[in-house]
Amino acid sequence: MKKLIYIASLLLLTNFLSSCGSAPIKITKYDYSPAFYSHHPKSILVLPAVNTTTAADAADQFRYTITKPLAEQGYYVFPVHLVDSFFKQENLPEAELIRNISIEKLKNIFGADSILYVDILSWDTMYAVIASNVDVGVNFSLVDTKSEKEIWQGNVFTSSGAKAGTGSVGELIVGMIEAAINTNVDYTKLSSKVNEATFNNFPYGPYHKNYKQDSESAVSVLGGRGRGPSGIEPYVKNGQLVVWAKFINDGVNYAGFIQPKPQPKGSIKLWGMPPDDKAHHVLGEEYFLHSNFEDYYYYRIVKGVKNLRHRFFLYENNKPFMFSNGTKVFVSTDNNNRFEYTFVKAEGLLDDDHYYFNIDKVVNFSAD
Amino acid sequence: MKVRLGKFVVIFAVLITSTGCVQEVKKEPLFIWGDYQYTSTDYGKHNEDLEVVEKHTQELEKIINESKAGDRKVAPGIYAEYAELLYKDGKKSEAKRFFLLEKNTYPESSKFMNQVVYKLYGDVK
Repeated sequence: MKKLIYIASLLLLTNFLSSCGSAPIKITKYDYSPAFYSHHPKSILVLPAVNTTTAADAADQFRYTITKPLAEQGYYVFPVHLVDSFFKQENLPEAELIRNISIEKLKNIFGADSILYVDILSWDTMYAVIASNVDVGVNFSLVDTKSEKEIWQGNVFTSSGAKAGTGSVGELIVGMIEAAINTNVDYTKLSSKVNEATFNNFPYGPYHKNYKQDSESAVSVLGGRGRGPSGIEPYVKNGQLVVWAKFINDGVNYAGFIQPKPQPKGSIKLWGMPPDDKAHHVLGEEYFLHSNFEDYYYYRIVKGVKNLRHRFFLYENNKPFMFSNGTKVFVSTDNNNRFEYTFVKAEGLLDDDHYYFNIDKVVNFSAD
Repeated sequence: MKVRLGKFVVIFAVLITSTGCVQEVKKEPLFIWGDYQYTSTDYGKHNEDLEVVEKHTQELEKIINESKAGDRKVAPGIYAEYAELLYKDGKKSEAKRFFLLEKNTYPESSKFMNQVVYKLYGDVK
């Protein structure tokens, strides 16, 4: 009997722990953005988001919900409506025009320590086509005004395929799908949830009691669920970076995962049930289980320089990398900053398909 | 020893599952926001609609009052946005008071507030 309780407890524990963020890659806030800690801004100017989607409202929606999560992290956030009025008076109503203003000039006008650039890459409601499906993709880039260096970046990509979970973008999306039945989507709620999820891992600012004390705290960044030695994250094998297919691929219907099927009008069925239910910056596999993003590459403009980036990689000095086993694995790129990959389809099991990338260098970031 | 370990596992399992996810940290909000997210978004999109403007103004007023009543710092930007609405409503001297309140509450805003005040009033005091 005792043994039975013991085993039951063990099972309970294992089950619980595995549901608890599913063994994230162990990195700290400092590891995630070391440059941030060497500049540590106190104030943030959020510029109007550049919207590359066809949804006209998307950029505004994002902008108006961004103040709260950033201020709650302890920063002074410049009042958006007043900033907008200022730009309007200066005859700069368009986000694209404002994006071209030099950092130096913005610093002189606002006295901001840092500027947050926001790009809306995806914002689609597809409910007319395949039941209810909402794809949202946003890229954030924080630039220090003194050094003009990018000191933090964040990507959020999600779709209604994401599983519902406490406080996650997924939960919100589920709520949205319910709302979408009446084609009355609460985009303010969606925006604020995506913003909150994004800045949850943001270092604390001067108005927060943990200011400058959080560099060692863990960041919830998940790796792809690789079937490698570590079982879970991208790994290095024979001089290549190996990433589980589910991490990268879209447009493929995996058994038990996203399988969009036309639903009778008015009825809603959630099909996506990836194993992880947390909101992550990047590398959270649920964000990649979608089918509507047109291209994995996008342009990030910093200091007037246009750089090609890939949605699923993080960047340091414009070089793409993934976190893997206490290291940053940088992949080789061509002159255009694109990188090649090999796709290896496993026989039989869909779960075991993998992508292979050539490695440029592997950098240790762990202090120990 | 084995029994002890077993007991430990049982206690640990019960404890950990009853307290929730280990990584979950409960967050105490720094500021009072009320319905700001909604009224601010509406205002940003339809600032020609008087009803929307009125609603946002009232929400900002409420946030300021509730923060004061709770002895809490008013969230960044709230005073300044309220000031702008007052100014647009013709209450210029009251507006100025709130622009300066923003500056005094958040020194990070001084440069911008000085510019705004200078533009609207011709001086910075």
